[in-house]
Amino acid sequence: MAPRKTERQLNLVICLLAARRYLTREKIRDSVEGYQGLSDVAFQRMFERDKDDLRDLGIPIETGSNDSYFDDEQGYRILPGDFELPPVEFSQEEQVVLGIAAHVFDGAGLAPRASSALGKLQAAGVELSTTGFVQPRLGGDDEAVGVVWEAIADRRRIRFDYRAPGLTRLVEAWGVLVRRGVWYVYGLDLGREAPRMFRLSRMAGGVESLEPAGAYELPDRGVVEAAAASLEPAAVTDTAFIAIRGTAAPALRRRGSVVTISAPDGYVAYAVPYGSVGEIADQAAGAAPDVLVIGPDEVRDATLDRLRAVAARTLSTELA
Amino acid sequence: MSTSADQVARLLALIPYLQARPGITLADAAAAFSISQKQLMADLWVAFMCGLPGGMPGDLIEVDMDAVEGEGVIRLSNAAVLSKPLRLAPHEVGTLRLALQAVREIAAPESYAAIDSASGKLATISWQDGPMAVVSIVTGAESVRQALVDAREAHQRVRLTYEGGARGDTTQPLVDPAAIVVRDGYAYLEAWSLDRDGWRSYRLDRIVAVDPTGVEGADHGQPPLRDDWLSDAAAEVTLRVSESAWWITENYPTSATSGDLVTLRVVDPAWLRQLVLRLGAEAEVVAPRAAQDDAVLAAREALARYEAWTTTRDVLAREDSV
Repeated sequence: MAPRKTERQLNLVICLLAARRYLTREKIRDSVEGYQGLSDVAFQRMFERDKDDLRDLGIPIETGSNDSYFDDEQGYRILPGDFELPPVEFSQEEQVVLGIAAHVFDGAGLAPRASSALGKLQAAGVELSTTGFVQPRLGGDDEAVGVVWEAIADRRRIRFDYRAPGLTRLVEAWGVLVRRGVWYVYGLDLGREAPRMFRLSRMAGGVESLEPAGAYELPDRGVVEAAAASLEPAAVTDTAFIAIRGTAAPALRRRGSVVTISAPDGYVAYAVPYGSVGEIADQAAGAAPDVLVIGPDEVRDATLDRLRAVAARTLSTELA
Repeated sequence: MSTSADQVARLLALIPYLQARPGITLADAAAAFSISQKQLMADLWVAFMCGLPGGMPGDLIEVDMDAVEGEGVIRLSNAAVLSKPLRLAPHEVGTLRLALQAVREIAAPESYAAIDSASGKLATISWQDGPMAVVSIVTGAESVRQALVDAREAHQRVRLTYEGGARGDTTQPLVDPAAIVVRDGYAYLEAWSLDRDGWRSYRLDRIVAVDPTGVEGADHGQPPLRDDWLSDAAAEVTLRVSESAWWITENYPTSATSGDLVTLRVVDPAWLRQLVLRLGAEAEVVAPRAAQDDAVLAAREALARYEAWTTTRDVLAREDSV
């Protein structure tokens, strides 16, 4: 079945592309292999479906009439200028980076979109080459990725259950953020009437893309960039004094500098800039007892809270 | 997208692609479109049946199917109407520009100009902008990336200065770089370690320096594929996790969740220790109990040291004030 349908639709594209004038339905029915021998109703239904399928692929099928003075029957055509990829050339260096980009979504949700885009570029003469040394991957295996991506491209609202079935959100998605392997969508939550960020992996039970296309406008790119920035660690504003033993906690040592204040025996004191108390307390507690916080008090207290919670637990050897 | 829609879309690119490359092999064309040779054959049979209205021999696309089946080469002609591919849809342009952003995160600075100009050209070839996206990958210093790319191009062995893993010691391994890869949003150097005589991964942001040795590197083949940093040796550890720490299920390899219980796969006990310490009251190991002992002992030792240090400081302070 599939080959017959593919042939018919491809023939329809070729027919409309080659047409110098708008072709009426009857003319199309006579010309295109696959429409002959159908009842009127069956033909109309099949032609409508084919037209929708092709438009979904981005094929610009125009509707109009050849003679504006007479109430002519509506016809169809595809203008080559609208259909064809405009001339575009990529330098050797650009083709190398495109060759690397070609594999970013291997095995992931956006892979089919990358393949079809690259197929078109190659058909326009682009040769993809790759060094194979640099191999970026973005993941995004969730099925939701592809649906959300096309919904944003088409400006269609999306509906999904978040965190648990039944907690339904209706969102005008503005953009996608990929940070440390986690995919987020950022947009206007219509239920809460405010911008919200959602993890794609928490969309329980898939995402629905709603009619119609073009349902909303996108904000400035700066809005999405600001949302991305909010995911990064807070800007460095304060300094903590931290005692570090030996070669432990290289990340903290590299961020900081040695200071000559007294530290416990065997430890060296560092001044370490930090942005959020929680973040530096996580690092200090995580590296205990090789790392001890000297001050300020709020960092020391947050670190001690973590340590006390763990120290109070019973060792397996202490169990009766 | 249905199979048929995929096939129509692909043929609209395949037909101009093949016309521009007469005599290309089946293998090369299939690879260019990321499809099997069997699928490509099926596509060619469809093209063979299509053409201009009329259906006369001169109207149809010509594909030398004997050459395809006999020699494995493709000659496709008489498809002037389809000499150019369909323009790219906004979501396709957006996909490639997103991929280029990912390349830029881990590429050497010498490639930035090409990445930016390629992305700029892509932005002009659709009828509407693609989706907005922002990517961030944890990657090393630009100078480290450039030094690794330079070493690779010169087939040079290098000495890394590496501020290692959970235990935090600094090492200077001698390696032959093989690839820069990304796993779970972190960039790694895959390299053959001369000291360990095997493949090793080095997190790029922990490589402090890359020093050329002047010695030519050896060819060790391809580094093994790793889906993530799990190994078969991983142990399963179950934690009771509060709502505020639920993010660990999305950031670390989780084999099961049930209510507030999360089972993680743990390769390195030192990694689990630091996770338990930093989560504090937000998570507690429930099975096996012994998996938490390291963290409990570390916390107790730390508290004892805080206590001793505070006492010393108070004594010093009193002596100062006398």
